[in-house]
Amino acid sequence: MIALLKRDLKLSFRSGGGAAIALLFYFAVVVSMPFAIGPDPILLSTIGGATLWIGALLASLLGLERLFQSDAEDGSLDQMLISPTPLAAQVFTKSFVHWLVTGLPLTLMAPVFGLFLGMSQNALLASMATLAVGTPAISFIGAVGAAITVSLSRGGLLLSVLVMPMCIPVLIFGVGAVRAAVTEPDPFLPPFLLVAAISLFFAVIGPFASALALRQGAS
Amino acid sequence: MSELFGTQYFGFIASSFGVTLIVLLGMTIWILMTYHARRKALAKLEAAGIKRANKT
Amino acid sequence: MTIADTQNLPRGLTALANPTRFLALVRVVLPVLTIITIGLLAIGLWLGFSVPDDYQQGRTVRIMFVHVPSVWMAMGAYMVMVSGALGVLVWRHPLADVAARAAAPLGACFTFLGLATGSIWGRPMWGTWWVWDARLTSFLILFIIYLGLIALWNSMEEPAKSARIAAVAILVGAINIPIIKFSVDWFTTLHQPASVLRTDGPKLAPEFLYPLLTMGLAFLFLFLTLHLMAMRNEILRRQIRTLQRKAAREIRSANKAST
Repeated sequence: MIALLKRDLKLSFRSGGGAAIALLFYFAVVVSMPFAIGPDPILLSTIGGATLWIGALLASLLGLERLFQSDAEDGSLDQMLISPTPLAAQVFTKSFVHWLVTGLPLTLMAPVFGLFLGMSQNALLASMATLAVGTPAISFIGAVGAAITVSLSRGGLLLSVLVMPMCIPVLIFGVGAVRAAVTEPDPFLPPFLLVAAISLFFAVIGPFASALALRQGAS
Repeated sequence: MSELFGTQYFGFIASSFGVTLIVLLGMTIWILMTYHARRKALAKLEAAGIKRANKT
Repeated sequence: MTIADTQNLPRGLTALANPTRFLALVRVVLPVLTIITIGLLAIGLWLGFSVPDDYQQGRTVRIMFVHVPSVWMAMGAYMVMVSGALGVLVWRHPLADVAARAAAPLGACFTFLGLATGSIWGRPMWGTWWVWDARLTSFLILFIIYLGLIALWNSMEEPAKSARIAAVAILVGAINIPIIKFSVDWFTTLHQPASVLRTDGPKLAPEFLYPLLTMGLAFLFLFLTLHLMAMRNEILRRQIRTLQRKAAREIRSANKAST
């Protein structure tokens, strides 16, 4: 498992820097928002949390297509299937690496991009915290989508269509928590804990569902 | 007509029943058309001498 | 995909694993179902149009008789797909995937009808075509899930493999639907005080309830009829596919023999 973690990390840094492209994409989404909405600072800061979250969701979806596809091409997927380590554990590792190279950088960069949107300090901290606990859920749900579409030649779009509705709960609570952090009477903690709960839930369900899909697709 | 759908909200009630009728009827017709097209295709293939293996 | 795998199912279902036998059954059952459906629809519509006006909703309450049954069938179709998915993964019943796949477009249609008639009903009652209310939103997501699953099926060629992969997708969607429902509920209670919108409507009086139940039953039979027809189409599609491949193989081997 550690070996797989290392290998995947190395690969994702070598192959054209998928992480860097995801960050760039994230930046592009956030920057195009003020052009679409107009440069009104009050409006921008209100929708800041939502913009950061939408950007993170889209940027995470970007690299998912390749999650199992490159393994299927070079035959390491077959090795994964017959390896003594449980397939779900390997999928968990791969999803975790996906989060390390996309979700984590997105989280770390969020406050910087948030400044462009004129978000308050509380909102910046809140969006960072919710992104940190919420983006793993996207990676784990996305792994299921990637496993389902791995054998398709043009699976990328389909993957987004399948994964997007599944991510809506994370989006709702994530943005809700950010909004609650700035509007006074609403408590921040309940939606934040719900985001964490969804992440944990999919960290368990996701790898098993992906493993099932990979096995069914292979047999 | 106004007996059935009323006058005040005639358009709303009529259009909700209308859209239901159109969609369900369209679905039925589409399924039937597919059925006949496939029957025909199957008959053509069988006429060309290709037989199903498990004909029971 | 052999008969042996389906042994621990009830005898009737095992016998239906044979497509020819299933098609023969459809031939017998379909006319009966069609007659029942038409009869129930006639009774339901007649009952529905003879109800008195509701004191709150006026005559628009009649929209309920197409809206609510559509919504029921939209959810029922997903239940059929879930049982089909279990049938594929657990029992490997050959008809399970056919059933799941045939139910998807029907479910999408009923979901669309639920959304469309609900929107038309909402306009005079709430004064707006659409609100981001919990029920509406989760239903919209159900619609997207249906379309995504149909797209998934259509993008896979080989039936046996696509059946199993789609089954996993259906089950994941099924886990997610309660989560979506609950999160959206929460989302609207936080940000939208439920004041004007009472989606549950008035407590239903019997003079509305019986027409509604009749229409619900009519829609159920309509779904069953259409579902059987769609399953028959799907079986035919697979038979055509097998024959075409066989034909292609024969031509290829004939070419090889001649060269």
